[in-house]
Amino acid sequence: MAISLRQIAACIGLPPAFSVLRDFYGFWEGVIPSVTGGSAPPLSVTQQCLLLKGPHIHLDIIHVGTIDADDDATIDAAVHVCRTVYATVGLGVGRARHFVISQADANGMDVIDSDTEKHNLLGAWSAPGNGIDIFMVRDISYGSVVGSAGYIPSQCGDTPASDEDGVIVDVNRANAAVARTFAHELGHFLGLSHTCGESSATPPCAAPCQTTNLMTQSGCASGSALQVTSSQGVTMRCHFMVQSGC
Amino acid sequence: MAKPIPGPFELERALQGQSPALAAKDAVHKLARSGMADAKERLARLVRDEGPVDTRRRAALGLSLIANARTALLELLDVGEPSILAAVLLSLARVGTAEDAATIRTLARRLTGPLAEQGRFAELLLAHRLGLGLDIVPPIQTPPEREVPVRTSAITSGQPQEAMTAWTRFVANAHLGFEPDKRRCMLIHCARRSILLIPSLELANQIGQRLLAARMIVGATAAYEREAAAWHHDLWILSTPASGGVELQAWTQGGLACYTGSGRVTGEQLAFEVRTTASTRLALARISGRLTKDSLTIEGTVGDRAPSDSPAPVLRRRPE
Repeated sequence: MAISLRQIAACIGLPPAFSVLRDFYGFWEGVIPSVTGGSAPPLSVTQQCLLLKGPHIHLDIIHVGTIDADDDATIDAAVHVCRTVYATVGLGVGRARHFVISQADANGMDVIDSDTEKHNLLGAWSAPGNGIDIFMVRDISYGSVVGSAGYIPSQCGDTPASDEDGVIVDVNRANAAVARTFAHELGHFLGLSHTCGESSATPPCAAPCQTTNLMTQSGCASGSALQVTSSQGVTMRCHFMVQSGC
Repeated sequence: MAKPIPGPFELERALQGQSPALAAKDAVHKLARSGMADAKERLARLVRDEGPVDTRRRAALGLSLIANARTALLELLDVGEPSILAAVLLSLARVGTAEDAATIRTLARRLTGPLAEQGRFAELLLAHRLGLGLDIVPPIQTPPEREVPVRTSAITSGQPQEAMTAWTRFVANAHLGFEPDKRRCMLIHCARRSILLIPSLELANQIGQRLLAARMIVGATAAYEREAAAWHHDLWILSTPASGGVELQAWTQGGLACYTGSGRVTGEQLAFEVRTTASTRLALARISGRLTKDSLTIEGTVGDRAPSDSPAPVLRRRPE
């Protein structure tokens, strides 16, 4: 079966002239990101096209307040890791568009000091179109929270309220940590719960606890903890924001 | 269960940004709650350091969790970075005295934009903590939202046992700025959110007399955060004497006014109603309740904003 990159690109809303790395993959810096600082492995355009012929999501990455080059590299790495992890269960990550809320317009929401402020940010802004809003903020200062999803749908078709619509991630951390938080919170938004119960985020974690799973709370996780099970894939693919294949 | 406090060496490494396992700003959070004898001095030093702004801001906020930190905070009022100064003012509001109201006001006026709002809120919080008069600290108006919600659902009460569990996990170690009332503490479910309402014990008797006499922090709320499996202080609830009763406002930690309304005092009972303010983009809530010396009861609805009535601001694509 022949796959046309141009057809796939048109299907996900790209114009006829586009950059493969910047537009098709959504890497702002226009290079394959490195998560751990070493050289990045090559990407397979064919594999990405195949994924987009199946169920996939689009991301709208919203930079809240000031952005620097370190943040760009961190966010590109997060998109890359998320795409790689979700691919293991047949869910593609398609277009990643970048939006910005200026420091002035952010009106202090680049720092989230409480749960209500999180919901206020999610309710205040939304990118047009069919992408999932992911807000990259400078700091989430309450407790040890590093990211949070606006909601966890309880069933297919369960939609968020306007102030639950999206995910926030603290961008001001190490690349690998931000990448896992990014994929983890997006997993919540797509319907996944924690794998170690909800009663404790730190040891002793509730059994049975899949410590290498993406949805394990960070305090209970071992290693990079990026595995996703096939049943989790089924749950994610039924979310109403998942696009049918190109 | 909280993660154990790291050892002094590990904590110091993390504070210097040299720990792969613990981010500097998280280390500040742990230092502020560590009970270490030198925590106050170390936090004050971090505020002055030329380190990352977020770390310095957390250190400034963390000082309010430490006993006798007022003097240390006053010595930090000359910090140049506006966001750090705003955090110092917020912290000072939690531990300062009436003498600090004028200082906070003067310095808040040097701030601009949302930081100026944080400064004004710091002044307001101090005024309610200490019962200062309107002549000393003027009120901040917070008009309610006028939109009509869609997809409304009822706000429901949780089980008393849930409230007690939350109390044990959060309130016992919280720094709320008032003595919390365990007996009337209650849990509500508002859409998908679980919220713990924590009234002030000071209102256990002579409710009317106290509310009508002076400003107060009448309570707080805590929200459950799934990621940390923990409760976190979310809002302060402030009351101000007004004609015929009291004005009520709920503010976030960062100085966002999110619910406003009024209360009517009858003998030993406060009946109140609050709504989402027009300055937020939160779901539209309408909450009414009754506080007596024996109980707190709550009812209300929460609903979404109709997209046609209330379109979100247009986001701009990031320029190349």
